[in-house]
Amino acid sequence: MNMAVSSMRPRAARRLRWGRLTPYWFVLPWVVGLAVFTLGPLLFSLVISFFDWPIIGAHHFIGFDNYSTMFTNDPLFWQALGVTFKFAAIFVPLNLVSALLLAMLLSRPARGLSIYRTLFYLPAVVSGVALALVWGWVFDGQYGLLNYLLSLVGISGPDWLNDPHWTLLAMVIASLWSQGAAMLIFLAALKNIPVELYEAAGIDGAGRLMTFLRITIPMISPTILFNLITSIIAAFQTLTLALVMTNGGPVRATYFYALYVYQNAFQGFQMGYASANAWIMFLIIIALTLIVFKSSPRWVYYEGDVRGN
Amino acid sequence: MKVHKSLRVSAALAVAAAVMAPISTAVPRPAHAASTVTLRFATWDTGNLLAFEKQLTSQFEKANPSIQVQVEAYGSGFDEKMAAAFGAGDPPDVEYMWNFPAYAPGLQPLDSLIAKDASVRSLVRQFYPAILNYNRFQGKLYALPIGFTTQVIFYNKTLFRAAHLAFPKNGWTWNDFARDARLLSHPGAKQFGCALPTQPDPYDWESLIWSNGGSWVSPNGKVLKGYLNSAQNAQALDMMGGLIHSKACTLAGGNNQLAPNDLFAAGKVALEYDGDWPLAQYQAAKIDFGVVGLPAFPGKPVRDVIDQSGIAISRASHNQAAAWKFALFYASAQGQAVRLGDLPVSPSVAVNRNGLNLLSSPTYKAFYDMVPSCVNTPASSLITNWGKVDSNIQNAISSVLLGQANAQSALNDAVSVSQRYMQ
Amino acid sequence: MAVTRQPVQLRARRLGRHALLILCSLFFLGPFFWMLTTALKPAREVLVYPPILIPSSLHFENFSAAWNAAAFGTYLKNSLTVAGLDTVAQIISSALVAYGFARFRFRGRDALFAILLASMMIPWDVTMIPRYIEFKAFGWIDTLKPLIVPNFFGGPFFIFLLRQFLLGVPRELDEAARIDGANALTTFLLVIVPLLRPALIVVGVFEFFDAWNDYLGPLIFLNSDANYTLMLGIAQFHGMFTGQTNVQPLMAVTLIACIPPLIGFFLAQRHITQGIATTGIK
Repeated sequence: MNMAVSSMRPRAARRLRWGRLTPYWFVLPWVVGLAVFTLGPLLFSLVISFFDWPIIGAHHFIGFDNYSTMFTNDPLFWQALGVTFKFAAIFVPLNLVSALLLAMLLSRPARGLSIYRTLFYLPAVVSGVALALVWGWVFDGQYGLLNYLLSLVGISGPDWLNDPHWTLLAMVIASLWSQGAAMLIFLAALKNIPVELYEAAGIDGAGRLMTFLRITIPMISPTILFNLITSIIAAFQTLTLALVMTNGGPVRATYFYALYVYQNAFQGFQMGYASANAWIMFLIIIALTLIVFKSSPRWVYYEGDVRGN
Repeated sequence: MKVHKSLRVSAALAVAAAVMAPISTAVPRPAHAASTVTLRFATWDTGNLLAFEKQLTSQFEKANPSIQVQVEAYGSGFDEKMAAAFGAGDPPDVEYMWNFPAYAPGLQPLDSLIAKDASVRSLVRQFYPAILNYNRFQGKLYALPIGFTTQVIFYNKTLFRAAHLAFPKNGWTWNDFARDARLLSHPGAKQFGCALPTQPDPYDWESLIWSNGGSWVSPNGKVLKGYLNSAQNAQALDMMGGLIHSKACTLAGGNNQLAPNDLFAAGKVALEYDGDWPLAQYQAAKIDFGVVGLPAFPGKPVRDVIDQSGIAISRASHNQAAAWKFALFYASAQGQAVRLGDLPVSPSVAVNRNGLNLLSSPTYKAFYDMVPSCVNTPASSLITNWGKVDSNIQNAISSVLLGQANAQSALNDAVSVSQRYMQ
Repeated sequence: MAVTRQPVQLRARRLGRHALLILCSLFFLGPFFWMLTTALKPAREVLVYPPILIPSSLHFENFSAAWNAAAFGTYLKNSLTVAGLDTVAQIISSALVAYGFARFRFRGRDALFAILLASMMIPWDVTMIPRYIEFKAFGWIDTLKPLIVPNFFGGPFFIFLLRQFLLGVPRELDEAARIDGANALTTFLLVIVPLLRPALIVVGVFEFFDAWNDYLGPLIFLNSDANYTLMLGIAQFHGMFTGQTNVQPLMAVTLIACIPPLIGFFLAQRHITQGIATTGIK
């Protein structure tokens, strides 16, 4: 340990420690917010997951019944899980790849780049019912815009929203359209890569693919990790699109797990059961995230991490 | 550095603003005498219906200066809002209501209020009994009816004339319907005999099932097997599926996509099975349409179902007296006359609403003509867990319409999956 | 770049890039275009087949009619208040917390961070009613407070994002400041914040959009019309039953509601992409 003392105040002698409480002060706002706004409702939902808890009316304690029913006596649970995993498997990789490619497209100088950037991020501005309506019109089998455009080039499009084989794909497309967030995050990360690294690579004669694989990817790997996890979470929490565009149909081809929970809560009026559903989803997402995190030391490179664990 | 200073300044301002000054931007209510009561009134209506309601509300406020009514319009978010509000014990004072089995514990039963007052008793006697009964659950009355519809068939007169077909008339059968639909269907020109929703509402389609002599559940509401998957039900659903497969009818999205009523309003289909909700849309689209009662299955009596909404008072409301006053006003003849977007629930208003006799008007007559056929109790009032069973039935119907299964096996599946919801 | 290329190749590549940019723009612009033409069409052209891409006449009065149908001016003011305060609040609080997680080693750090991540995954429908009860106990129902105050305590998504960013940035400047005798807060303000600037702008943009587009929060926590935000107001055009959707006003007001976030983004995006040049690493 270098004990060289600067000519300044005594505090410099302890320069490797800023006071043990300092980090706690910085993290405090979040902890307080968690305690006040999140923990209470969270614990409440955990507790009522062990109850038969209709929205209005009497509540009964039923122990683990909700959980056992879910796994053994509710085919909809498995169906919802299946649909959600399938969606995530298609959506997450596509999302990452397309967001990265778009960000790279936007990171090189070109005329009118700010306009393009705004246009690409435009979808994130719109949400809600109006958007779902528009997608409904775009994807309609008989009278929709997409099939009309396809017919102009001689392709007879499928009945996107009524054909169980195609509906999930339609939802993937609609979801990808709105994912300006991941693209923007990649863009900021790409811009953060020091130019000197690229210059050095250029001097060494590295080709574009080499540069991409050896410099770009590792430098933005923390961001890739971030987008990967948030994409997984988003895929599992997809509700609005499913609710408004397809209502889980046709024949439950887009019966997302979040929709399953929502219907149990607001159509079945069983808040206890819905809470149990939510906690299971919570555990699944945590498991997936853990897997991703555990694998991350192998491919994520942090320049400025505090090592030591 | 400038950036940081401005950051710090704005941070300080923001924190100060949040902590020290109240952020509430609720419009300060005008000063009233201490006895002023504010009623919270929640509705799901939008557009012109909502405009009528606001008109009604201001009429009420003028007649009752000590009561202010706060109209809360939630549109399609109504169910969620009510669930949150009731679930947290903080519901509006007075609200539209249709789901009595779920909300009954939170609503004020009205029977004793009605019994107390002779004038109210006579008002209540004026409603169509069939409609009033839909507001009962387990014997208690929870709401006053404010609007209703029965299921009818809309037909496009222009398309019928072009095909030289006679207009449908009351007393027609499903064979007539199928024949007309087939003759009016030109898939190449994107015109179809009829449009069916991909995810029909089993509540409304019970009218179809009843007409064929079946029902979704046993009369006591406890048994699905043998009722839900009866041969008559399968036959009725297979018939509808057949219409789709023969391309006499097309499947229309139905969930914020191009729904059957949108296609009818665009003049793309000739027949449509629906309630009165799209009436204003068709009138605005200037379609030359007619309305006729439901077709019957040959040799069987036609049956129909009533969709109605009532105005209910929350048990947790602190303004019971004012709420009751408002509800009565709303359901009175005066209230019914203002709400031009709803069908009046009293015969006395129906024969003369602003000069129009709805019972003989070609546009409205069919709805009222179907009321006497509404003699059965809908499954939603009999099955406690209707919310879950209903989605399984809908799934079964969908799979038949999509050609994924024949009706018998789809219904059998629905029975086995729904069994656990029947206690 | 050091490697020289033939001018033809360069031009071809640039053309290719432009073509891609335009193609993608069409994809992203498509639904907006559809919304715009739907709002501007005469009513009878809204639902026809083949779809009418260019309206025969432009009805700009659809926009003013829709805006005047309800108290949208008030809704706009409320939306601006909520989104504006939320944005400032999140930028500050999330940055502070992220600094704590990224630059310090302390007991319980990894456990707390795990909890942070976990809290991102909680679905709202089961916490909705207890939150309502909690806010009701505070007396905040039917005020804008439930929509604003929680944002002063950092959001897990943003904390995670900023932490990842910070971990990718070398610590030389931190160390330099420390040698000069700066304490943690000063280091944060003078070193970290400039380093984080692009990410902070990203956080600001995201939070603004999130708060602006939030529909469920206002739906659940607001009762009276005077407090509604824009999104809740727009829902008034969408009814529960078929035929009750007023399509044109819905499209019109949704489009108008897109304008403030768009302006905000257009102004902000320059700062996101200024990159290393202004962060003074070297």
